[in-house]
Amino acid sequence: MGIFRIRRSVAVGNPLYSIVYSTIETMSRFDLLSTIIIAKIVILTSCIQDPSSPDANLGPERIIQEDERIFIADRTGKKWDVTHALKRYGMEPSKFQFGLGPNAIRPILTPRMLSPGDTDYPDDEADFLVLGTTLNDGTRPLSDGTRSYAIIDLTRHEIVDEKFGDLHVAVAY
Amino acid sequence: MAAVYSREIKGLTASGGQDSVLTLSASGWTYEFTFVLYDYETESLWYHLEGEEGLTCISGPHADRTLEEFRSTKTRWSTWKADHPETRFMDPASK
Repeated sequence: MGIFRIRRSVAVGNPLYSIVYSTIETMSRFDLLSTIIIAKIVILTSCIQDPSSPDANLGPERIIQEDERIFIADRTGKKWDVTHALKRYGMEPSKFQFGLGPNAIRPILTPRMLSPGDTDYPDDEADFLVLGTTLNDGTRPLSDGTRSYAIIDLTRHEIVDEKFGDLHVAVAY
Repeated sequence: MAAVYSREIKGLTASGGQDSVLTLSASGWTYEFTFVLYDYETESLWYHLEGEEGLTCISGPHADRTLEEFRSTKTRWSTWKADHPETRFMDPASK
């Protein structure tokens, strides 16, 4: 329970925290585990939205049928024809969500690659997640075929439109 | 899902050309918690269908065409760097 002793020392002076950590310290390990599980259930339950709530409607602003075509409208008013997706792949218009518009998340179109020794190149032991790829097994020669992308940068842009030698690729997250 | 896909359409394309290179971007939509992509050139929608390899065009002029997926690895930088000492790394300031 060392961690709680440390935290309790931090909490000195705050009566509420003192009570909480005193209680935790007196719990058995089983009680503590049960409490954590119950707390997680409560949190998860609170995250599940009521489908009848307006806030739960993340689907298209509008679903439009024109003759034989089905369109979904995003939040910018742009209409997307999803007829083929529905008929060929059995997708459902209401399951298309968010509809932020095509300019909401901008891709990286001119990625700049750093090489070992460059000023901003990460230290070998830096701790973060990357997507790495080595494209050297195709039929065409590729230059600089081993590259990596920080996941945090991919989450901001979703897509990096890249070129490895003559090969055009998209790095996606 | 982190992945690397081709952006090249081979053979007869929607515009009548033989080959074309697409510019892919997020469409702003998700479908079952996965981003739906689109291409600037034709506004076709691209999606990684469950059980399929690569991206499939689900709607638009390139309907039913697929974009190949290349091998990639999601890992920690220190691990990737140790295995690939000469790896290049995308500058976070890239636009």
